[in-house]
Amino acid sequence: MTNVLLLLNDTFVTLPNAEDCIIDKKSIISNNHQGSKIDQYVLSNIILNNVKLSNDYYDFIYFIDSNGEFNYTIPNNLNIKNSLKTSQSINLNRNQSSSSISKIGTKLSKLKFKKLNQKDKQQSSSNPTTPISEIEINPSSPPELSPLDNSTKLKIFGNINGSDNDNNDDDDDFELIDENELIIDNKLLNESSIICLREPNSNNKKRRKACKDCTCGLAELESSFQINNEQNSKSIPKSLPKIQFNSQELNEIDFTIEGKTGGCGSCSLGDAFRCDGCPYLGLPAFKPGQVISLDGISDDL
Amino acid sequence: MDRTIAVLYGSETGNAHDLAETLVSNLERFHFNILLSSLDTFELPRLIDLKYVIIICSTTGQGEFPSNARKFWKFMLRKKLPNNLLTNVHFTTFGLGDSSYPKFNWAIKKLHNRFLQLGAKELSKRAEADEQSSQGIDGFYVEFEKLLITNLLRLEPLDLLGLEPISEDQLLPPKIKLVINKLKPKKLTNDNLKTISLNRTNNAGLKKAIVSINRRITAEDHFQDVRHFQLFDEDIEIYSPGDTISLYPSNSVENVNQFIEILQLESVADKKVYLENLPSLMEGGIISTLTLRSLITHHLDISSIPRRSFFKLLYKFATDEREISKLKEFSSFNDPEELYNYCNRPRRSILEVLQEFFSVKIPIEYLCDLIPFIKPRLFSISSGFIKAQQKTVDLTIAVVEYQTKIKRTRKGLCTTWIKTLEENDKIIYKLNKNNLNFRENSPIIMIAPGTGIAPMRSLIQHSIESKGYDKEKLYLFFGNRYFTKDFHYREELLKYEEQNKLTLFTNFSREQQGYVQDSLYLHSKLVVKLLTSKNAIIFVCGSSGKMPTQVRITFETILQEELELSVEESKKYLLELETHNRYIQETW
Repeated sequence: MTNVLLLLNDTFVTLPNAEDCIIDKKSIISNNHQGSKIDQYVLSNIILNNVKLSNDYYDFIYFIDSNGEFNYTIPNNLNIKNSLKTSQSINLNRNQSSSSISKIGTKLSKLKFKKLNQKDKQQSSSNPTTPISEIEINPSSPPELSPLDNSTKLKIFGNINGSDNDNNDDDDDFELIDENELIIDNKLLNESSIICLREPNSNNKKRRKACKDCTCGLAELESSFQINNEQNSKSIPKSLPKIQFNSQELNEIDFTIEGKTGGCGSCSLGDAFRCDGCPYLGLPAFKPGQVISLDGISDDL
Repeated sequence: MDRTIAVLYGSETGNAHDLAETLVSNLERFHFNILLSSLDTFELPRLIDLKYVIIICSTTGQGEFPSNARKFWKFMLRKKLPNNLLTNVHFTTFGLGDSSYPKFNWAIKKLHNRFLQLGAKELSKRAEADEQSSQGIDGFYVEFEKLLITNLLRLEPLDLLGLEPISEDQLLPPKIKLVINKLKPKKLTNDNLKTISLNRTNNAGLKKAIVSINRRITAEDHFQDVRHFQLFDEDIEIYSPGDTISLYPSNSVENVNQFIEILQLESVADKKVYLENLPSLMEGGIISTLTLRSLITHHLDISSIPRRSFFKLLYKFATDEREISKLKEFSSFNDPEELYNYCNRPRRSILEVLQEFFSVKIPIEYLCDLIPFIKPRLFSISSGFIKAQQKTVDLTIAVVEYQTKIKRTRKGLCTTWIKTLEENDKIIYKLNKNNLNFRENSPIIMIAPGTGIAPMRSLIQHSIESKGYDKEKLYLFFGNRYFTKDFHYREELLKYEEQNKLTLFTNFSREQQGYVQDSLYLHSKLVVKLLTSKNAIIFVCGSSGKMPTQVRITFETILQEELELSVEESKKYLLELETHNRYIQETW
């Protein structure tokens, strides 16, 4: 007596023509294996242990996938594995040709199991269909997640527009997942790594470097600079109608050190070049002798 | 070896698109071939053969995808998509969002999660950029890009090809090339700025309107100038509460003159120009009378704060050693604070930066690469569409003016431009429908400090006049500073209250009455009753930042105290409300 295990994909069995298809497929199996006994189960029942498969029992295994076709990629599940006779070659039916596999037992034990989540079995939530990792049982290649072939993908992607008519929403024919689930079910997302920003130092602990050719002593006076900074910037009144310095005066002025002559020369350049304590911070760049008028650049209407 | 990378963007106002363009430029230096497109125009079958996909997408509206990403997203949500659909794809995502919104970066979160579900592999750290952060979106972007390029080069090293990266110092040809039309005669454009601004090509959705009212509604001695602004359009479309109007501001003549002077463009300023490689769909179109001057006036955002990419291009045009070195410093990743302290914190404009770098000589053809295009500004409509023959629409606009470290006052481009508009002027505008559906017959709890009153006024007028709502359904918590100085639409609102059509709670913060959330808390019992037994909707509008967060916390506290919920439960309650469109936030 030949024992055949027939596995049925869960989505497939919900299709209207599923019954006819199963009868059809079973007759094919019977033709292949005269006098065989076929045990058919919906895949989820096996995964969820709703049915108990006898160990070391089946000579052949067939799987009808979501498209209602025989698929030679068998879902990876311990119950299924254990139910197969280990010493026999397994017929993974595909167009009548049999790819015989020896030492199935060993091969199967090398397979990695994907932890099957209870929730995955229900087709309700946002998880995509065929959640079970399918292992291609092939003597030569190591077991791994089998990629979809390109023609399947093309069928899926090619369907974005439906047919040529843009008017009717062909999209409505496709059932959508609940997108809020993607926020609630955020396990995958939390495992992903995310950019964290370095916040700028807002408490002014780090001082801007002294400008080139620093002569004001910033380099030496790092610590007391903060105090001078506050005092100096406050000493400039808010409304400055006119400021005019000739180059000699510029060279003489140095607010940071009492009585010291000679400036670093950066004060007249814009804010980009002024050091942190510069009393001219906030004013535009100017040339010696140039009148600085704040109103000159305003556009009050 | 195929070095193709797809850079896909979902962009509502152009920011995500800009970043995508920046990424493309930077990736090209490493000899990658880039496929750049919006998510909706992207050919999905390409996902079969593409190995690398980078998605830059903002979150807009109420946690939604931008309009040029929705079709793509709808496809991605299909239940039947198998979980190994994208196993060949190495991807990462960059989200643009605003943390004062509860659904902060929800679009990119969902997208990233979905890609992972479909088997795609992460190639580099993802990012959820925050507009509210001190360094803005750009701060996140530079970190993201730096890491991404490092990871990409690890996967696809250049030395295998025997190639060197194109040096950053090398000047590549401009993406959008500005060309002077030498053949055509000059055209003066300064005396008819307003007319010129009206006529545009590539102008999908733009309409013309007459300014019928432009009146200050705050007291003259109040520090803030708020305008009641009304547009008249014979063929105005029907609008609903929550919809917005886009306005297209221009630069002031003074600023444009300064810009032309600094760059020494006087001799060619009035020559006609054209732009090569301009994208076909430009928000706001391009003015038809295009001279260099009018291009600068109506399209180049010289008052915007420069991004790092600006400095990266600018240093190539400087001739003074010191300036080159400083500009390069600003554009490098080494010290993000330098740039932040120089530009972002004081809100320094491109024009002001150029005024400090005297040695810079910018070739004209690079102007459009260097300076971003002016983006429209959106304002919530503050009138209800109540008459069948309605031809007007109101806006409530606060003129933006404030001080920073820079002595010259910061002024908003758009609101400064609005101040120049006189009644009977014609301008272009666009109506944006936001489809904020307020469920029929549910009471609405409106929280609106300051100009947040705009969409509330639209909602109140519409509800009272067109739907017969009354004070059992309309609750307004309105916060301002002084009863006499900035209680916008005072007469109107008090009248509605008197007629029992509106329940009004006011707070005048400078008169020791606290803020909107204080009134809210005071009326905890009412609020809870409305939420639990009347399915009330909460609608919060106003400035982004602290306000919406504070309001939310207040609601959480109210729920905790009145319903004895834990902190977690109260947060969950609000999240539920949001999911059912019962907590709506519009902040700016």
